[in-house]
Amino acid sequence: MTASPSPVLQLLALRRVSKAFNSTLVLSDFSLSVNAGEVVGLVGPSGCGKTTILRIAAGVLPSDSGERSGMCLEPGPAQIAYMPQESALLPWRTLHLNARLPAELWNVSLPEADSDISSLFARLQIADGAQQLPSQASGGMQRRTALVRALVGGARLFLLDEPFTGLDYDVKIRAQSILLSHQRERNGGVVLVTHDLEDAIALCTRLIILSRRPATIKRAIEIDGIRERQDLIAIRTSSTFRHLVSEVWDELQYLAEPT
Amino acid sequence: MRLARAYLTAVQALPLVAFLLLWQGAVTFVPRWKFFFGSPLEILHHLVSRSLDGSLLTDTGITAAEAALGFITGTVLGTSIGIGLWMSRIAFVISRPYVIALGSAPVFALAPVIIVWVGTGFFSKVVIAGLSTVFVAQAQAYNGALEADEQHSMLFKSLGASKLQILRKAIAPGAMVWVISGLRLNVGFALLGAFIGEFISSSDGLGHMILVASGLFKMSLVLAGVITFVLVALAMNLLISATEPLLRAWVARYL
Repeated sequence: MTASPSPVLQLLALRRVSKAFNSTLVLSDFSLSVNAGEVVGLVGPSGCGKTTILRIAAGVLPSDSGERSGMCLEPGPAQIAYMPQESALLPWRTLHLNARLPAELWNVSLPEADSDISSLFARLQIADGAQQLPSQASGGMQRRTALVRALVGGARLFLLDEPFTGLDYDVKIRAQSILLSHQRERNGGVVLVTHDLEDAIALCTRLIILSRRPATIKRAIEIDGIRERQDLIAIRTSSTFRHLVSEVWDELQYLAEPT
Repeated sequence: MRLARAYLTAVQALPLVAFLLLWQGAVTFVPRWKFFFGSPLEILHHLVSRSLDGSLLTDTGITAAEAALGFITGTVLGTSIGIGLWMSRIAFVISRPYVIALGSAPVFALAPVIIVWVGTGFFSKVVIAGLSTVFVAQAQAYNGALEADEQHSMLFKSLGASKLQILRKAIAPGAMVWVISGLRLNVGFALLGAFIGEFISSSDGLGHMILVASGLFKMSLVLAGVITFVLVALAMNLLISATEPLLRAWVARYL
């Protein structure tokens, strides 16, 4: 790995952010930044505030205090694609038209978006269901549609909340490599919230382990290099990978224990 | 399978045939019963003769036109009001008691007043039919808008959508989907509204025909009118069923 000579591009940063829901403190002085080229994974015990962090980062939930800044917030075409945990598809639109929503809102060329969507649908094996309504589609199909919706439209930062749940293994690997290729192509960034440690380690350049509520960064692990040479399947067989999985697993076990 | 279906239809028709035969038999053997109950053959005679001289078609057409026009204006107006109420919280809070009061007022009881205001002609029935549908459409549109707002505002916010975009892509289609699912109910209300208007004061239409016939104790003609009315209602329902998917597709495509 050579150190990148260009200055670091900060896509999005949260600084000393706090958030409480009905006097339950979920975040307290939490800071996080994502730079261009990074894939940041958030793992931690359930209910620790991962989704809240992502929502605040996406700008759909106001924080009680703290700052949100970064290149992706500058005026101009929208830059952030947020994929919520519930797929949030519009029930009156077909899957294809759901995936096209950001392109419509952002005045991106629609024919181009349509052909992008069609090819992504085909690669994710939901082309047959493109004209179905969400209510007629399975949970996995809805999930893939929400992922495609996040990918088309030209965003640079992807905030993904459990994007791969309910997908078959082969489809999941395919979806992950599509995501990474989009991110690399645009020199973009990803924040990934997941329960799946192996996914997190295979995909991320930085893995952040969160403590229990209120979430603080327990540990941040830079995962360098293992992704550069290998594909997403081969990574999972390497000894570095196995080692990291057990290391992070131990950490999470420790966090999950009642105090 | 096809045979089974034909068989089922035959069995379904059986009670009706038996009923008609019994009815016709009874009034043939006891002629004074005809005064009370009419007779199937007489009903048929009225239907055929009035179809042939064109009067039934005219009456049916007028009633259907009144109902359709009222239905369309009522639905469009109600949908706009519903979405408008969602847009302005203040307007909603102020108008809420009035909307509830007006919505629960029996439109049919107001029919005589409307006839005094608008006259006894075609348009008074359109107004009554429209009033019978406007409240359902308004309530559907408002609830649909509210639901769309609750469920999808986060997505649109994350996409950086403007207020106008949210209205166009989330609120309006959400409201319209609810309105569309209420259309079938409303088409019945519209027909009933037109009918009541005619029943109170009119010079033509199915309601008029039934009113006159009942005044003359022509039971068979009354029943012929009722049957025609039911057929019109069925036809309008079929029309709605046929247009519903088209409307939904339109909402998905252009909103």
